Amino acid sequence: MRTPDEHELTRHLVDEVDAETAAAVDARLRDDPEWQAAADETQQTARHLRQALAAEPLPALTDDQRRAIVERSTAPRRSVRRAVLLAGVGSLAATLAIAVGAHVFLGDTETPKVEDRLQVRIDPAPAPPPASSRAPAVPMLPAPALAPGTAPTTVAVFGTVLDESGAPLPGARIEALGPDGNVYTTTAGGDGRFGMTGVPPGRVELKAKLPGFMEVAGAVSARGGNLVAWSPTLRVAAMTESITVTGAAPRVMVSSAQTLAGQRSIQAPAPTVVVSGDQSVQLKALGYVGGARTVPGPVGAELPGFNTEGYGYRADNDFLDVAVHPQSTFAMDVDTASNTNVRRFLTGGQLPPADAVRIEEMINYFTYDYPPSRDGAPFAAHVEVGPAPWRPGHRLVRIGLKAREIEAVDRPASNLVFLIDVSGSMDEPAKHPLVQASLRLLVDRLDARDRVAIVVYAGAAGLVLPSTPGDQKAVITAAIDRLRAGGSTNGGEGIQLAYDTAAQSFIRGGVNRVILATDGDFNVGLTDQGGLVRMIQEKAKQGVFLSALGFGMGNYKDDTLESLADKGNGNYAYIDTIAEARRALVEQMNATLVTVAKDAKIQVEFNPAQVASYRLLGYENRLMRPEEFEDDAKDGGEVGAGHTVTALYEVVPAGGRSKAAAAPPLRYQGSRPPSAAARGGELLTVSVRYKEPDGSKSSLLQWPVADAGASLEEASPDFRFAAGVAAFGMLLRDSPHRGQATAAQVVRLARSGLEHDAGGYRAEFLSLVHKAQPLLAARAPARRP
Amino acid sequence: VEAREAAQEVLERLAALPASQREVLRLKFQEELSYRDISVVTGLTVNHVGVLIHQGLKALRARAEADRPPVVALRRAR
Repeated sequence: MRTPDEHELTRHLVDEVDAETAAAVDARLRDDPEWQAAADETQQTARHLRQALAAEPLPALTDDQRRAIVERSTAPRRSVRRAVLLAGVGSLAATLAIAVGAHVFLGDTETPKVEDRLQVRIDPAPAPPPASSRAPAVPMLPAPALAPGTAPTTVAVFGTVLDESGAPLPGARIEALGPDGNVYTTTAGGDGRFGMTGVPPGRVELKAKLPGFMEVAGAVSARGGNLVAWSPTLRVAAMTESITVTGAAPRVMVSSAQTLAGQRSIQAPAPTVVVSGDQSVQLKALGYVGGARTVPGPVGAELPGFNTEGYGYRADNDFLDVAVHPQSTFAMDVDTASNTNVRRFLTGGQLPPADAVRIEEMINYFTYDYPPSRDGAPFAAHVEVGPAPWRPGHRLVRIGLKAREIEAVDRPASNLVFLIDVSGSMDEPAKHPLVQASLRLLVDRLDARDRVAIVVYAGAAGLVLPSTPGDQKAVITAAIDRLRAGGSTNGGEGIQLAYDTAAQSFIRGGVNRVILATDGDFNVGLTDQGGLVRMIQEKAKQGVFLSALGFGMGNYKDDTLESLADKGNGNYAYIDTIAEARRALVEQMNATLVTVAKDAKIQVEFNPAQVASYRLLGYENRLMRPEEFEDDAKDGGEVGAGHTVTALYEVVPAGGRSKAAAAPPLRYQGSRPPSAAARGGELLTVSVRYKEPDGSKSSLLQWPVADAGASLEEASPDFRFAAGVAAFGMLLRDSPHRGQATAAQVVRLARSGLEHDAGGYRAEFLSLVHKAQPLLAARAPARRP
Repeated sequence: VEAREAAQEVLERLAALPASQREVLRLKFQEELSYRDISVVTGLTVNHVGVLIHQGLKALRARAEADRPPVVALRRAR
């Protein structure tokens, strides 16, 4: 007889197994005293858990929570788009609404995530629910949560969209055609999950759609209060027009739940799934708030700017007319988290959501062969002009800036405070252990001049390691090894403590930095995020900067981390493997730790005699107004030693067909004659403004550029490679500006740019393109009927 | 009172588990769904559900034994 494993033991104890497995488990139980002990413990734990869940208390609100709810419930609502981008300041009321509901019904004290807030904010039925004696604050809220004892009158649909292999499929559009003739839509999140509430009862027809996949349909008759679990499997579409397959036997399960809180479960014959209680709270508790947008409207109605993984929405930059917008200004950005994210999705066999693809971060992930300046300036500029491979007739301008390099021995002393999230959500192999491993790598590189402290935060914040000299590696490493994940998260307090610690051991003239390691899934308590951001900005002015390292997968919210890092004059990186940790922390230790310039901004002025219109690729959320370039009060980007910053412009030459909307003619301002410089044939001028790391007044560097008319073959390998990365980004984003870009073209460009491939990152990129190729091909036919 | 406190501690330990484990444990021990139905509802494979439930129970047991708040433990460790 085969030897069963302990998972089978557990299943045998709490569920059903087939007869053969049962016999094997029973046999081993008879012979193995350790197994008997394990079985007893498992049964005891299961019993305790059942009892605890059955007797789940209904905790009261604290006074602070109640006050906050009352205050916030009267505040005006903001637009949905803004709520997504800011992740929450104005939506605190809604946050609490769900939190209250969760307490009442499930006692789940977990912090609500961004999508929870959204669910409530945009729910189409904001009618105040009836009063409840248990949760006095609930009736104050425009929330969909129903009080216990009130029968919900609508239907909720939730589930997970799967592909043929059974893996979750993100981004599918779920439509429910209600008996009222309205179509209710939502979008599955990055983990394939979706949940929609507020569908009227009656016959509900369900559809799951995703470009490149065959549509799946199902129907159900649901009564008010029903929760319908539906997990459709989508098959890749054939290479023809999109086909609608009806009756592909999706599993539709209906509950007859109409129960009060406390009445926990109703057993019904399989395959009926019964989930009781309030719908939105249940969906939240089960994690099905993924695409929580439930919008009644005509088929095809689409709210732009919404997705569920916490990536801020960004439209591609458009072409701009040089006559109207002669200058293009943006903050220098060297973050590279997007590339890691894209790799995670593609390695998992999925196309990343468009908004997770940030072209500038992908381009800047790779190092380019830009020699540093010889005259001691913090930047050297390398500008190259060649054809835009995806659009004949257009030119592509690659602006490469290389920051000054600092030899390891010249590295200033570092005062580092690690701020480590040890909340329960970090307790996964790709998170907490990776944090520890990453920190060990970094600590290994420090020496006696440096100082290290460790602050942890979860339910409360604590100083685990006071500031310790960097050569006492055994002490530091032991502290890292002792870290354990578990507990809930409150980021605000930890950040305060970390900054206080950094200030106490401040090294004048050195690097003073708080390094935040988290999965980004933290809230800041009841203090508002604005206050946190202000504090981070304030500390940055005093010379303590913030680096944010994002770990883990599922609930990763990269706009929060990015915005914190931005405000803290810092950078952020997304770490999912130990190799990535090495890259972010060790190989680029100087760059990660030593800022050679702060508030760096780039301004490009185009010569109207040469350029009709232009488009900046990426940097959408770094754009600045032209006048902000000269304004030293406006934050720019931080650049570390040895970093390269690359920006690409697609340029329509003068005389070509301008892609930009033309400006109406002016009545009072005639056209000015071109300056002498404009007649000189220059294409553009690159200007960089920056401050020394400890300075407050900016300096200016300028480089005029002409187009020598180089062909793609004459362009440098770096140029072709960067163009390939940009084209790949546009394909992944399904950008309207992708022109004739194809995956095959990306491969050609990247391959011809493999010459400088220190670290093998470019070869890795090529393998990613190969992974994406079939996925892009599968998406293409549906998009172009 | 004692039983209620014990239950409260179990719930706290449950809340500290990773979301994936917490979810399947609630579906199993609160909603009393079978592994198969949990698999359908969550989109996870039955095997994965089994692993999560096993690990979740194991983690609850381990935490019950350790039974001390992690941050306090860290402070003490110093």
